[in-house]
Amino acid sequence: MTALYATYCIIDSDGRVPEGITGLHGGVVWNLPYRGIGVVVSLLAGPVQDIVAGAVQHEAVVEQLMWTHTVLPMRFPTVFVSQEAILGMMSQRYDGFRENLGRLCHQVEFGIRVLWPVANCPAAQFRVQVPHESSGKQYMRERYRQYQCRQVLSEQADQFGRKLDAVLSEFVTAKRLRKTGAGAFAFDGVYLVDWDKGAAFRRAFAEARSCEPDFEYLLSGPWPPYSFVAG
Amino acid sequence: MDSAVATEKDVTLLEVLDRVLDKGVVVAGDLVISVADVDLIYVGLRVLLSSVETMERLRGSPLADVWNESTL
Repeated sequence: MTALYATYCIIDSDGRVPEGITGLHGGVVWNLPYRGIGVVVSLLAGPVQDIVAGAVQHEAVVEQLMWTHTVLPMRFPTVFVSQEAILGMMSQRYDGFRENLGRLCHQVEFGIRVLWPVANCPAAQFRVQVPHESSGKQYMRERYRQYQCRQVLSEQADQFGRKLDAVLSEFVTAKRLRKTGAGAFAFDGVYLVDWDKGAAFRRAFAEARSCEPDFEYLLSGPWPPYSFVAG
Repeated sequence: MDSAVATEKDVTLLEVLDRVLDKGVVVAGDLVISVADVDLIYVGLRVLLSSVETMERLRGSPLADVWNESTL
């Protein structure tokens, strides 16, 4: 059978990676060097059938390497049929990889999502409630009311987001904030944080959280910098 | 307690999938791309990144099922 190569991440080294890391299908992970950097790969026994389990395994490999190297995580799944094809890709993207590795050295990613308080949940407020025998005018009035509610919630989300972001921004290198509007989240953002500032970032988050305890907060990380790989 | 743990695991899994499947280095994002003068094929979620020539050779092998499903 033709060999398949699963790729996990680009790293800032052309040397060996720590032993004992296993990838998809239990394959041994190794570093394929290219001009001072490398791409971490493993042999694959066949097509990836279980996408969820595969994604988790992929992430596990990248996470183990992020503590010993600067990593650029590959999107899962990225599989090649030959080492020549991988090296061809490395050749084409080399300059971009170098730039990213320099920029993301010692950086990790944190994700923050904030849910609206249950009593203020947009999904409950904006449910379409059209009477069975509604006239067109009633329908339009109801839609206009919903539009107004969305506007109010969107403004509240912006206000809340600005406050939270102002507290966190002191400790971050970069950020990506998604406009939440009147959606399920009051806030949705990812932050790039220097390793050394991770603890301070968490403390700032805990403090901000305690000021607005009615919301539900989801803090995840530290992650490899998935959201900050450019190009 | 158990349900809280399960919820936490679900949230964590969603966070993992959100990143791993949607972010990171993208070297194939379309049906056919070309890298270093080699035509490469990206086959849906069950991804094979392969040359056209190699995929032709794989027809008839166990991998052909993936190819056939993805091109239906």
